[in-house]
Amino acid sequence: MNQMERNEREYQQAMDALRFSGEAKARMAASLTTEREERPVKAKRFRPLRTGLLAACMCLALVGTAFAAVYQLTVQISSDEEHVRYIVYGEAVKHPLEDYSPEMQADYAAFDRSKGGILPGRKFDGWDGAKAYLGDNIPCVWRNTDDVVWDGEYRVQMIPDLTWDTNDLQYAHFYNNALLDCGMSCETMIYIYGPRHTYDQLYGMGQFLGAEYRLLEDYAMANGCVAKIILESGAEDWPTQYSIGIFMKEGMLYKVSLYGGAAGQFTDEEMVTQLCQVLDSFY
Amino acid sequence: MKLDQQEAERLVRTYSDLILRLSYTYLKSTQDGEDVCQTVLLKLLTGNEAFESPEHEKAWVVRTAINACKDELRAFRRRAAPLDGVAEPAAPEPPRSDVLEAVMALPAKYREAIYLFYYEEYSVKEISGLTGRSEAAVSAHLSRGRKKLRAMLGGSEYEPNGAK
Repeated sequence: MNQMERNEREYQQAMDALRFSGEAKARMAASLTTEREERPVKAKRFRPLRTGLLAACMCLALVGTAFAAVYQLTVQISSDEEHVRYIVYGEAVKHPLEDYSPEMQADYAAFDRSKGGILPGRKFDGWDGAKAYLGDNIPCVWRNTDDVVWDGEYRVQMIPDLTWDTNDLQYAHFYNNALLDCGMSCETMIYIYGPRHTYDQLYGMGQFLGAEYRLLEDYAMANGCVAKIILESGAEDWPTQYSIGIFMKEGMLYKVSLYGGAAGQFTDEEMVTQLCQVLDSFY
Repeated sequence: MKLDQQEAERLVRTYSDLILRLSYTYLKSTQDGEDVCQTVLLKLLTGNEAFESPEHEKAWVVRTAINACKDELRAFRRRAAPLDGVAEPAAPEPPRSDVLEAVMALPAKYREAIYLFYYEEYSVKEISGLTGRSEAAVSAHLSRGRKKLRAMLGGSEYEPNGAK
């Protein structure tokens, strides 16, 4: 056995020795059971739309198409006895798998969900790599990032049919996280929907009661898009603050989320002003 | 015994040590291991995920634990200090080992690759799928991690199959 093999064995033995005590495991199992009883099984974020809402949103969409190619989004904030949530409705342009780059199509084809594993996708060092991976037929845009002091990952991920009935692509998304010079962190998601996304509920997010979502006035961005602006504040035991901008360009949904840390670190005005600056930096 | 309790006990028995090791690998501390474990297993217990095999379920746990650790890292510097007088459960003590200390001195992406390859015995391709990094990047992280370890600990280069 050479030195590296001895090191490998010592590493494995050290990791073997790192374990929870029986007491800690019993505590965790008991706590999980209690929390499981208190917390309902989470519903999927994307749920078929109820008939009444569908009719209402179709009316809104028809009104929108009468004017121009400005994509109409509707945000509905609701709550029940345990949760508060917001849901974004709109009509997306559907991109089948064939629209994506051959490389991305090959990755999707190689993914065998029957064998389990992680969803297909890749990480990149920058926007250019991610955009090339998505392909020329996916007209998503990026932004000026002069305000970024630390750039995180650029990730593209493909999500198969959520009903598991077929192997079709349900949607793909792009993800980036970054730290801005103002001290806020910025998460950007771009959702590109596939033909299997047959309902107009595009995005939803929820929190336990105590958190709050506030829908502010729409913001007209420099690139001509209109963004929905939401302020999120956490519950008392975890008082965080986010400002969220959601817009649609070329039929794809963009979600920009600024995290301001613990509540009170930034004023609501600062959170929104900074968000609008980021939104205006999109090409 | 209720079904949920049985399932909770199965999940803790099967995955809690794995999540602890992963969180130690990422966070360099065992202090938050129990929180990360609760987060991941509660998601598993309350989620809609359907798994076709134990390997599929394990891969989901690994992936979710990695994400939970990254969230923990992001939240760490903004987290408020615990309230005075609130007793925290004792965290498991990492064992004393020169090799473990050397691994923990590596950058996070090297630690991640080394843990998943050498301890969990995932292939480079599987690690690529779990972490979202390219296979080339995983191989490079393994290779550079080994070189650094060699410099720290001594010994000849060890190149297992599939990790050139």
